[in-house]
Amino acid sequence: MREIYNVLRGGSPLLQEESIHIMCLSFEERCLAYPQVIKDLSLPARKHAFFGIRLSDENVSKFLRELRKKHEGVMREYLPSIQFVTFDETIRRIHDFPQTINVYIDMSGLPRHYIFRILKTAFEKFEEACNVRIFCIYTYPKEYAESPLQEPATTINYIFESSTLFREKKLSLIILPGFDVEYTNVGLTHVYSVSNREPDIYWLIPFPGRTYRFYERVLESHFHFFKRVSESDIILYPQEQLRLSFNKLRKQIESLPEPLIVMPLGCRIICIPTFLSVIFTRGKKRKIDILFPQTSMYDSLRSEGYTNPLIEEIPIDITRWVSD
Amino acid sequence: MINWKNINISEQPISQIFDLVPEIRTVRDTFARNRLYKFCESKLNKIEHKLSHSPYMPYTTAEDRLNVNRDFPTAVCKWLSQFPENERFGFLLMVLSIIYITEKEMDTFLEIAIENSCQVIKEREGRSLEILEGIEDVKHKIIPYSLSDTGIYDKFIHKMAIEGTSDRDRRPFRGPLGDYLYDIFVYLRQLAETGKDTIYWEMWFNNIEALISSFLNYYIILVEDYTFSGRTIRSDIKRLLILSRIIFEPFRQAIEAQGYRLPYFFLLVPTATDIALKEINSLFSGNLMARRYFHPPITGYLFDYSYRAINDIPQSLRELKGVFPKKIKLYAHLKRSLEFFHKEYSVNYWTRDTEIAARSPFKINDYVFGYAKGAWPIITSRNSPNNSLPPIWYPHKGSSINILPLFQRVESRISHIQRPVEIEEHIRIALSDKQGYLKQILKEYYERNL
Repeated sequence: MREIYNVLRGGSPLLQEESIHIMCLSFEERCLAYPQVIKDLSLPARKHAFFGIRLSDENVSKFLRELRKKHEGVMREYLPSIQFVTFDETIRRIHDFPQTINVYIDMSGLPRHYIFRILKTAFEKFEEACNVRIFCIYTYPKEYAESPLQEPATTINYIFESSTLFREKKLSLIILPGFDVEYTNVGLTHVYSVSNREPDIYWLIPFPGRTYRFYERVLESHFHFFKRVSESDIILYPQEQLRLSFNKLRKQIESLPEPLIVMPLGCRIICIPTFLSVIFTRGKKRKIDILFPQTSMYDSLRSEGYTNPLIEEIPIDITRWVSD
Repeated sequence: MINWKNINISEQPISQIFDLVPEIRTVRDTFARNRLYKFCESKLNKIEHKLSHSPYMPYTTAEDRLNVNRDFPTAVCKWLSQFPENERFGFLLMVLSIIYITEKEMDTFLEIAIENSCQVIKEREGRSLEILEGIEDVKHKIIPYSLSDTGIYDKFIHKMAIEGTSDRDRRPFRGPLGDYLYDIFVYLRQLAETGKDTIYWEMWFNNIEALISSFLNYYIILVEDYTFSGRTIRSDIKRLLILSRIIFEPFRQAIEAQGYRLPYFFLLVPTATDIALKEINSLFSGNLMARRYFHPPITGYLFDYSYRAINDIPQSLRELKGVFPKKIKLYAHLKRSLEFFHKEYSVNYWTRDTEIAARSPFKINDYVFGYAKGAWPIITSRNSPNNSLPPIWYPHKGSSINILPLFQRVESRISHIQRPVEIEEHIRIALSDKQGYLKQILKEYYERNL
């Protein structure tokens, strides 16, 4: 992904085109980074619409709800014309978008199942549109706080319709681990219990991540898995280079027997190439789905501050990104 | 010489390591001890695992006497036992902070750097707002040069699938760029000194002519596998800038007026440090000419100060601060052991073995942390940089010092000691071009060929 100022800067022809900016109101401060960039660009109001997704307060602690409220005030100050809507309302609005538009989606504060749903809706809506451009935005926090790890819930999200996958033969499972091994354990336990047999597991480790240290943390926390795995079953997955990671995952998916499950557990940025590779291979009638555990309770703040947002345009015609 | 037979390594090397280090023996609290055990275990296991997939390459040709590639925790145990008891804690901290970059990681850093370079080239072509696709349409404009003898150049060509991928004869100069520049400056010096007064001038100029035609209109990508201090790369870039000042800059307007484009240099370094980048970028700040010819370095990953063992322990070890009593200052131990090692052993490397100290501007005590006060605990599977903490890699291969390093460095700097001195002399004479011979020859060339 590129530094946002390399793409969106004063005088850029992109800013003269009709655009919709979707962002998420979050308890993480980084949700303010993109609104701040837009504020500084002083965009012409008649050509730009802003939606802030207001997520449910369920399983969010009081402290974090307060923070979210505070961020809402800041977002309103930055973008007075912003409309706060629920996630379902956002999805409905996407269906009403015109066929000539630039859509900017800030993923920074969105939980991963919403990222997948929003991308899925956008791709279904704009499948045939040739005048729509989709830009993904992601902001890393400045620091990750030393708070306790969150706990995964036993609830598992599926992005497509997986129930039929498990009735078939042996599963292939591609895991993109984060440094919290508990999420891997919960996801694996689910796959074992539903399929009643051990899947063939392949690892794509997000690399190097925001810092190489996080990548090493994944190696340390997942050591008991990796020590039994051959070198060829581990692939390093460049998480910020979306086109490159799309191709790595796509090739891996194409080389494995189906049915296949992809479990994206690392940093949220990996959801984008994961989604693209899965819909690309689903388009080729591959039996494949995405699953991951939800978080049981958000009760501590794990990030502080924010860095400059990153941006990348993703192609609606995914074949444009296919390379050997 | 250490007699390993006298050292009894138990089944559990981490327990043995604990026994070797007095500061750990004094940790009585069971919880803290368990936390420490787990910490050491995960760090050593991780490196061992990496080594099992990507062994340290110098040990494929030299004897791995500590058995680092096969049993890292035991190797650490043996390595520690070489040192006096009161220094071992500092050495253990160094080991726990080691970042071992495997071959696969290096390859992925390269892939990332290449992907980033595609973006930069598109921007250079004025197409930054286009969706990022491959660079099929500009590949024919790319000429790669290697800055050193490492295998990264071949991998780069292969991954980019550019000219020379299948036919190695179609690659440009196959040695490192420094060697090529050395030859070029020799020719330029001769031309500046004697002009057309010798029968060889045309032969010398043919080489310059070949260089001009292979640079004009092209993107020149300079490839290096890693840089820690940036000093070697900086001097290569500086020479390229001088070369551009001699052979392109005086004729810039004429070149551009005829529709030709000046060469544009990209430096592609998959693994770099923030210090190295700062050192290299200092060449471009406020230097319009440099920016006309050079793009700032393109990297795959940038290691920042938090990985260094300077002023404080590296960030990956900070967790340990909560394990030891406050009176045990971790960084003080680490620094003391570095100083001990420098005084007892590695000072020889900088002064006697390589004479690096005589050629570099640093004080002798700066070398305690490695070259250019590096303090990077980073080792690559190909070699150990001398910017890394010396106890990890010294004595280098061929040294007569009587201890064993964990990751023995293969020294590459010894054979080139005289060259920098000579090239500076060639550059000085070519640049001054006192009689104006060189400029006249170049002027005639451009008038004939543009």
